Amino acid sequence: MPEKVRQCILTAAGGEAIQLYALADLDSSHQLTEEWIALTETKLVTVRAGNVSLVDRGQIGEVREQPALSGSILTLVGEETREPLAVLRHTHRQKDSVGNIAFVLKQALLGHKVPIGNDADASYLTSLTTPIKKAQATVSQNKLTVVWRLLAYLRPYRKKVIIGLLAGALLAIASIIPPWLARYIIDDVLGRESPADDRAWAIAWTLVTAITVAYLLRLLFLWIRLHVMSIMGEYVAHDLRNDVYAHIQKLSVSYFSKTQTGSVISRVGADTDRIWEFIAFGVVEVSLSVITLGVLSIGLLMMDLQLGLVMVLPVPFMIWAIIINGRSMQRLFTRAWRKWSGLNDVIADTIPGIRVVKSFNQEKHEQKRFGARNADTMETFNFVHRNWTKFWPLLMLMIHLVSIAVWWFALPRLMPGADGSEPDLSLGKFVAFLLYAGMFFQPIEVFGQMARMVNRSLSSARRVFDLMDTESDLPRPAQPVTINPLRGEVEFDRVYFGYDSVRPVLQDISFKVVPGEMIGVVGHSGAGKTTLSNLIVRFYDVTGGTIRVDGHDLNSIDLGSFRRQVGMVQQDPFLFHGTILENIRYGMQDAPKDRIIEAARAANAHEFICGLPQAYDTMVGERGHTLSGGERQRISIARAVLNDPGILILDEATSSVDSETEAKIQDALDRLTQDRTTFAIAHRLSTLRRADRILVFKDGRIAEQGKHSELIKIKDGVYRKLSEMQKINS
Amino acid sequence: MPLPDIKLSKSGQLQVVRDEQTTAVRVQPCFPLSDPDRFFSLLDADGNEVCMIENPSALDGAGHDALSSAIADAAFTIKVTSIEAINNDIDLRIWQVVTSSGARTFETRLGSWPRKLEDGGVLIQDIAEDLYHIENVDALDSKSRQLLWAFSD
Repeated sequence: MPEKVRQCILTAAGGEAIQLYALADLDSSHQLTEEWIALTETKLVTVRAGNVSLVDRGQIGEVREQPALSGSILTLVGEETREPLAVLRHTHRQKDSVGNIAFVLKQALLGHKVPIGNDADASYLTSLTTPIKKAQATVSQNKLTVVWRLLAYLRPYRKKVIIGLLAGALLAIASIIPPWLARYIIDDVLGRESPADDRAWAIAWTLVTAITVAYLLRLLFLWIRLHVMSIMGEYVAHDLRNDVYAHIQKLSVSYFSKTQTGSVISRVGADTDRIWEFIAFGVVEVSLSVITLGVLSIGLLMMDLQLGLVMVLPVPFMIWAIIINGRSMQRLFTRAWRKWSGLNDVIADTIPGIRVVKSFNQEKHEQKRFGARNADTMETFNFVHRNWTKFWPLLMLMIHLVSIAVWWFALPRLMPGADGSEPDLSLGKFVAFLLYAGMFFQPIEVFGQMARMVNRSLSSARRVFDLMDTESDLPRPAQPVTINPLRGEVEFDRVYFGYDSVRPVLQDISFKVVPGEMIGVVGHSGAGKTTLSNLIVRFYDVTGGTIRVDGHDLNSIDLGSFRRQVGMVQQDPFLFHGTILENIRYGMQDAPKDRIIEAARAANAHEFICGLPQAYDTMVGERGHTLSGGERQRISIARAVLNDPGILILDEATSSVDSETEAKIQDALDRLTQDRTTFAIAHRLSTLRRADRILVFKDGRIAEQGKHSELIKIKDGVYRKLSEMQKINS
Repeated sequence: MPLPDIKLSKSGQLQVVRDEQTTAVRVQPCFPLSDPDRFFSLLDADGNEVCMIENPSALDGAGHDALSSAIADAAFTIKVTSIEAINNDIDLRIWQVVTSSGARTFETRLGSWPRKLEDGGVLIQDIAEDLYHIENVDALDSKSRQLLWAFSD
């Protein structure tokens, strides 16, 4: 918010602090504008082009939000006048910040006061940058910083780097030797006027042997360079992958809920692979090409200034042509990429949905759709090929023209003078010059090929470093308290929680659970039930209030030790690729076999496991897809109870299975919950009859609590309504 | 079924009056992109359809004006008149455009492509879910067309 606007608002609001602000960026005729909206304790102030409007929050009787295709309208209606006090139009870019203000005003109308942090700037910035953060890594690091950071990973391998660079430099020197020796063969051996004698032959064979040695050395240095740098590149990629993965494990659950899984996976996999490319080839190729081009330019100019200038002067023009062509190709590749992804979309659509395609007899339609996109893709790629195949011959033509120009200038100087004087340029020098000229243009080609790769690798490095710079938003206590064994006393003391800084999912939650008590948690979808369980295991930190476990603030407890003593069974159990045995002992890797069988028996899973040909050694496949929902659930229960947790959390554990399986799971759970603090989140109220107490959630608050027999008696109660609805539906 | 009575309340709220009962509604175009002039669902606060208006021009004067104004708000998209630049950043494509609402810069994901509409127009959705509509690609200046070429046919 501009400082001038801020001052206007503060003056209009009589010095009241700004709690939240937003930008209404559309006017009534849908023109982009800047109308700042600020919320203070008692007022809502808007400022547009220096004009300030003031609304007393007490006057607002209705807050109306009208969604539109590309924006929304927030209308504040006067309580007494029933006329609009403010009509604020905005694009979706501003929807979170305007939505926050609308939420606070709506809650106020319901009589609820929303606790708001005191940093309105941070709140606005978060609302604006969240979509960018979701889509992108970060743009804060410049390329040079990234290169230095990446090169720091070479430090443990500095000997290898030196060997690789040295081999590269020797390779360049070894490449220069043969043309240099060829000059002497031509001038001092072949150009002799006297007949060949033994000495001439000896010199000739010595020089040819030296050229052979130079070529062999060149091969050796090439091999050393490729070998050392590619292997070292793998080491660096390995170190990076380890660092990234270790860092991922430290991040809180909220990071993963904000970031797409694919993005995290690609940073560990594809991005580190591209970095290998940079280390293995980019670093050496680019630096050597620069050196080779510089050394050869100087060498050619020193060898012969006139011919040297003919060679060197066109180089900047060629590099410019490569850059321009690169940009043009980027455009073509973008179009080709779009066509390719269009083709992939058809495959990704139809293969998983093949049953629908067949049942509607749409095979021919799909074939036609794919065929059309396939033809389109081919045509676009052919267009790309037509373009790049035009450029490189043109570049070669430029190089050939330079070679012809060299001949053009050299020929008169190679001829003996009319008076019989010696030629100005020796044949040997000229041949050496031509051989060097052949090498001279290679670095230019390398620049063309490397530019794209280096750019891509640096983008990957920025993504990887961005992830590694992300801090866990769960601060670790300086002196963590270790609770072992966990008794299972849990207390929520005026707890608030929200995924953003304004709109709370849980509000003013207070209850105390004594060890061994079974608590049922019920409510409509989105009432905050699962959030409650996420807070108990501290997947997220509360935004207000305190959670105490065994009398200690949860934030002060050693999380690792605490979580090992909490068992969680989720609605959609997640099994890892591996055997049933490995999945059950996931939380206790050294658990003896008899305890695993005991846990499986307790979860009513032992019998079905033994019914499988490979019993506990059965591979469950990716995410356990080879097992039924009920079987997966019972394995996850066995996993949860293996280490005899002090607190057990059951999050809709039986909601996705049939009645028979539910009975088996319920039977297991009834045994496991005895004398153990249990939170059972359930949709089916029948599963909570045994609960010592039931918490009924509504709109993020505890609406009712008590035993089933008590709650069912509350007339117009939420629990009673839920119960009646389920009776009707069953 | 006879057309309902549609009016605006004092507070600017669209209302449907039917059988002497007044219901506050909002308008939802059913085909905002493929048939933007027809089929409008009027929904109450709970999202239940109160009535469907197939053709707003069949309404009387005041009702027609009230609904037309609500439709203009509900179906608003940002109309692009020229493209100044399209650049790539990490994971994002940054568009600098001039629209009928003013100059604007927005971001799309690299893998998110403009959508070709049935009427030949092009629709671009940015990361904040704002919609940018190019009604007629051929009417753009040559620089804009050239810039768009890689992203749309």
